[in-house]
Amino acid sequence: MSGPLLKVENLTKHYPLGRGLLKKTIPVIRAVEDVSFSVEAGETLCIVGESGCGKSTVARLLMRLVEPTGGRVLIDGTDIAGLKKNALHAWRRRMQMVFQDPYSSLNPRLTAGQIITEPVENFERLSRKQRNALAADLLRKVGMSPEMLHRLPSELSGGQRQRLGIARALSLNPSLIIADEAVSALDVSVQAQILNLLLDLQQQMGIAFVFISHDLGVVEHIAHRVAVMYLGRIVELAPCEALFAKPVHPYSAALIAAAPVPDPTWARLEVPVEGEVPSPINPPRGCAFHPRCPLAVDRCRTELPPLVPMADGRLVACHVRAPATEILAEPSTAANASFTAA
Amino acid sequence: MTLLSAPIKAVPLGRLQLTDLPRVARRHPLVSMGGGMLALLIILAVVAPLYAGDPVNMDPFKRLQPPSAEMWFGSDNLGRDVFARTIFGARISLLVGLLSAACATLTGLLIGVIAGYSRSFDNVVMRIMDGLMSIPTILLAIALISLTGPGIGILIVAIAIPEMPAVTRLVRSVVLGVRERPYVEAALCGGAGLPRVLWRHILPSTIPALMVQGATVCASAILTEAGLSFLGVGVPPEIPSWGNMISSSRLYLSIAPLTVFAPGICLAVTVLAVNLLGDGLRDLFDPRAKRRR
Repeated sequence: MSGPLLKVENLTKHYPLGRGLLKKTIPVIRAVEDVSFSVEAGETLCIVGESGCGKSTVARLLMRLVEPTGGRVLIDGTDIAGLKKNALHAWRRRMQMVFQDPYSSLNPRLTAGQIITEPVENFERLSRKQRNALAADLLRKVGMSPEMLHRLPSELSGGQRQRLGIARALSLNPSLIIADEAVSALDVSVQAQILNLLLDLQQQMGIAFVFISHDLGVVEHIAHRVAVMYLGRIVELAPCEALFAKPVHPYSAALIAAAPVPDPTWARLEVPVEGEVPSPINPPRGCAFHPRCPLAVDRCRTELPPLVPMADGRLVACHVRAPATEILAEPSTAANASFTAA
Repeated sequence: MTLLSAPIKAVPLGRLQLTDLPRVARRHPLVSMGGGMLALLIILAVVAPLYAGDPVNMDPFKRLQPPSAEMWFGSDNLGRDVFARTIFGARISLLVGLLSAACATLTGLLIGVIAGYSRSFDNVVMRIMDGLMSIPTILLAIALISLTGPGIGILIVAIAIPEMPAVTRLVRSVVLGVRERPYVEAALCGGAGLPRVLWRHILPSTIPALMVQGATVCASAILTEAGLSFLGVGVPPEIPSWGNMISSSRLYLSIAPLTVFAPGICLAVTVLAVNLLGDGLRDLFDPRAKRRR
């Protein structure tokens, strides 16, 4: 089994606005545009970005909770984006999801044991004895007492509920877990416990994570590689240490500079980013970040920067910081280039 | 938002046990009152042959008698025992009320779940429901009964059909709200098929609303049955029912008032019991609704 565990190619999701019965062109929300990345077995890839940049949509696309508009999602080389419902069923075992909100993602009417064993029961019949044994085992894995088996979610704390969510994801022994803001709804102390639990599970079971977060402190703690998204596109994809040490894309730099550091003497680096995130219905021409970018040149306003590899292996989409050479640039964008700016 | 709204929750149905019954009854007097009255009426109706006389036996020599030890509520214009007829009439009212409510809620549940879950069915089904809603109950019943002849079965169908769209709408709206919940998505991620998602994750959420609506439908079905019987298109006249009794005795109101008041008061009490139960259930399932009043 060579090649990456998960490979995402040109994933795109457009949400049409309204049902355009009479109008010829319907406005669309470009939630995810041309996103490509890969995840190796046992690796943690974090996707960061501000609210509305499409990171949760990526998670939902990976799980096929929404149908992609275009692109491919390959697991061990099989495209699951094109699979029919029945064939998809088998692939559900390979990847599982941990949800953001530990309150609404657990059915309030089911007991802890029922919640965490349900995925397995979708694939095989369990006797009551097997089910209880499995539930106790899963609870132990996520650091909970097997006595919690018969509790309802309403009788558990936020941290315990999120542990249940993780236990549910673990029940099918997946090779990949997608965690969509899995710790954002929790207290900081509980966040740390849950993150350490995830790291332990990764070490013990070799699970790969796609971890979606807006909390850079969390990301720095657990990521191997980080993808920075802005307005539906990846603008920088870099190893974690390299990104935090020296962000290349101006948006990554601004994002990292904006993250609070628990040190009152730490002088904040001023990276001036002004204005609002543009609307994904009508994104700016060229680089989506150019209206807010302190480095923007004329070329940024007309031409979309491709993701180009840099010397240290990271991928950056920026005309100024990572100018594409003739060989690396895609032919279509090179042909349309207007080099009037100097 | 979700964090704030999460702690306000309804009574978890799954955890209610028989030993909780006195506690729930004390905290929700409407449920215990309505439920108690209804239970009493049902028991009285079921065991009627044990203590009430013959409701159909006519005696021309004892027409329009005042109450006596033999006939507690007196007799009607054909010399029939009004008490026995009232008690046996409860059987018809409760039977028609409960069965029409059951028919309307079950079909409404089925159609509502389909409409709520399937975008493509939704539009078609809901337009049909709008059409059904516009049919007046009484006219539909008259039309159906004139086609098939009077009978309790056709009466139940005729009452259930116009009541069903309201249930469908209600169930559909609950399903629309629940299907987007993260726990439903989580179930899909876990590989759950459609039957399991519907049965385990969506249907239970509709039960509280369904029970409340069921009580409302039941009360209105009892009234409709009485109304139809009064008009002479409901229960066949040889079967004692409250509507039939009021209809046939209304000319003798001044001579033998109990012939009209006995079934009338029973009708009012039954409908009151069912409505109290429905109101109480709504408070029981939705604590927020109670606080607002």
